Amino acid sequence: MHMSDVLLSPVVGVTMLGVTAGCTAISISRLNQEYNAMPLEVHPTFPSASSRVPLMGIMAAFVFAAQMINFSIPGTGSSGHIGGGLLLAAILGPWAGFLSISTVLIIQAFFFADGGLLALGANIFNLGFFPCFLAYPLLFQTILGQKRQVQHSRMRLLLASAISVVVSLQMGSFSVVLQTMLSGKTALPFGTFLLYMQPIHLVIGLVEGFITAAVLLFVQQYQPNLLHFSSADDEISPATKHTKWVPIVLLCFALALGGVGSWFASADPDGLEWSIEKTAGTLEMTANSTTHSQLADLQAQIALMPEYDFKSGSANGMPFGSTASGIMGIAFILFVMVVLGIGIRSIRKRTNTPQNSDH
Amino acid sequence: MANLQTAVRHLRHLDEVSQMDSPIHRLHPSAICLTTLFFIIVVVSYGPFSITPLIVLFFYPFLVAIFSDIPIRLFLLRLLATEPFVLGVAMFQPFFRQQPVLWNGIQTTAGWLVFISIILKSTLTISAAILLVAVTGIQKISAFLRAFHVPAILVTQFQLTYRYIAVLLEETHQIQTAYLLRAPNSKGIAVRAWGSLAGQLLIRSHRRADRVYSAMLLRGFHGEFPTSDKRRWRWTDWCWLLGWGSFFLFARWIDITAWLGAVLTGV
Repeated sequence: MHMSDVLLSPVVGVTMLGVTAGCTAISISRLNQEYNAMPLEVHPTFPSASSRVPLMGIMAAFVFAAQMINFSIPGTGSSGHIGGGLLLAAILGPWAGFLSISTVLIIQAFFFADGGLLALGANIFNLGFFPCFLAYPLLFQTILGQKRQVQHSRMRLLLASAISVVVSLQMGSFSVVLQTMLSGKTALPFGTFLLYMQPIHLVIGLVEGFITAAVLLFVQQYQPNLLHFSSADDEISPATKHTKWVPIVLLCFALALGGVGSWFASADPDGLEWSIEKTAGTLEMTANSTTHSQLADLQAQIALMPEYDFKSGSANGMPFGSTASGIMGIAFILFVMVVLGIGIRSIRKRTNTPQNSDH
Repeated sequence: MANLQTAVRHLRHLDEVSQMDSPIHRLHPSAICLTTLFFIIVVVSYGPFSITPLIVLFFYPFLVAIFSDIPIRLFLLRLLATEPFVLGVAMFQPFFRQQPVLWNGIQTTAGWLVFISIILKSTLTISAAILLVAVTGIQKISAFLRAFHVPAILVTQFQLTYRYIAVLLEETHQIQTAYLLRAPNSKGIAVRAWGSLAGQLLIRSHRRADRVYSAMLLRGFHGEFPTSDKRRWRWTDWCWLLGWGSFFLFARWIDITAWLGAVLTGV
C-alpha cells in the first residue's frame, strides 16, 4: 500500500506531509508528557523521553525485519506478512507506536525506494495514523475492555487484533483511493478503483490481523509486561483519557464525512470529476487551446483535480503536435546523453586511475 | 525486498557507496536533499499527458549518476525492483482512456500517453531518490533533518532503527533459515509457529534493546547522537542548488525537447 510519488499531485503530497508533521509533533509532545508524569525512580537520568528511543528504534527494526518473514496461509499456496502499525501501537502505545511506524516508512522510502519521498506524508498517514490513533485506542482497547489487566482472554485478544487491523487497513486503502483521486493522476474511475482496493485489503487485513494476533498472544503468554495494553504502571484517569481523544475523534468524523460525501459525489463513475468541473469551470480550459498555454497549464496543476480528460477535440488529437518534431527532440537528447556519458566516464576513469593505483 | 539477505546486502552496499569520494559526495547534504525534493515536485507537477518535456529532466539523475561514480548496477537493480509497483497502476490507463489522439504523428490513445508518462515520471523520481541516498548516506541525511529542525527524538530513532535493521535482518534470516531447514518443501512459516517464531524474535529484540541502551548510557549517551559533520556551505553548493533549480524551472516552463525537435526538423 506504499504510494509512489507519481500517484500524487504536489498539492496533495505537500498537504499530507504537513498533516503527518503535525501528528508527529503531537506524538512527541504527548510522549514527553507521559514521560514527565512517570514516577522519578523509573527515569532517574533523563529530562526527556529519549530513554524510550532505543526501544522504539529496535521495535521499528523488528517490524521492518519481521515484515519480510513469509507466513504460509493454511489451505492456500500463498503467504502473508505481519502488519506493522497496530503491533507497534500494542507494544509501545499509540504515540511511540506512530513515531516508530513513521521511522519504518521513512527508511523504506529513503533506502529501499519503497514509496516515494513526496508521498512519505501520505504513506505515514495511511499506514500509521489509522492503526495507532483510531484502531488501537477506539477498537482494540475497547474490545479488550477498559480495565487494564495482565492477561486478557485469548479470544478477545484475537478478535481485537483481527478487527483492528482489518478496519485500519480498510481506512488506509480508502485514504489511498481518496488521495489518488484528489491528485487526479489516474484515469481509474473512483468506484472502480475502490472496488479494486477495498476487497484486496480486506483479505490482506484478515491475514495480517491473525498473524499480529498470534504474535501478541505469544508475547502475552511469555512476557506480558512488554505489552502496552497489559502493563499497569502508567495509570490514566478515565476523564483525561476521554478528553484526550476528542480532537482525534472529531478528525475521524470529518474524514468519514468527507469519505461518504465523495462516495455520493461519485454515484456515476466520473462524479467527483464532474462536480469539480461544475464548480470550478476550468476543466476544459487546456483542452481547447492548440498552442500550449502555460498559464492554463499552471492553473491546471494548482487546481484540486488536474485536468486529464480530453473530452472535446480528442478525435483529432490536437494538443500533442501533428509532426514528429517531439520524437526528433527526444532522439537528440538521448544522443547527447549517450555521448556525454561515454565521454565523462572515460575522462573520469583516466583522471582517477593514477590516484587509485597509489592505494 | 522479498529476500532478507538481499536487503542486508543492499543496505551494506548503500553504506559503502555513500562513503565514496566524488565531486557530488563532496557537496553539502542540504544542497543535494533540497535539489532532490525540488526535482521530485517539479516532475510530479507535470500534466498526465506530458512526455516530451520530461525527457530533458533525465539529465539530472544521469549526470549525478555519472559524476558520483556510483555503480550503475546497484542503481538499475533498485530501479527495476521498484518499477513493478508503478506498472501495476499504469497498466490500467490504456483500458480506461481510449480516446484516440495523434501524438507527434503517431496515432495512439490517451491511455497509452498516460501510461508512458507515468513510467517516465516514476523512473525520474525513483532514480532521484536512490541517488540521494547513494551520495549522502544515513549520517548526512540525519544532519540535514536536524538542520531543518526535525525533532531530535525522531532523528535519533531514525539512526538507531537503521543500525538495528541490519542486525535484526540477519537474526531474522537465521531464524527463518533454521526453520525452513527443518521444514523442507514449505514456502513459509506454518500457522502453528506463527506466534512463537515472530514472538520469540520480538522478545529477544526487546532484551537486546535493553542491553544496547545500558551500553549507550555507560558511554555517555544523553538523548542525541552528535552529528560530527562540520561541512560548511560553500559557493559550489549554491551553484548546485540554484543551477539545477533554475534548469528545472526553465524545463517546466518551456518544453526544451519539443523546441529542439522543432529546430532540428525545421518546422
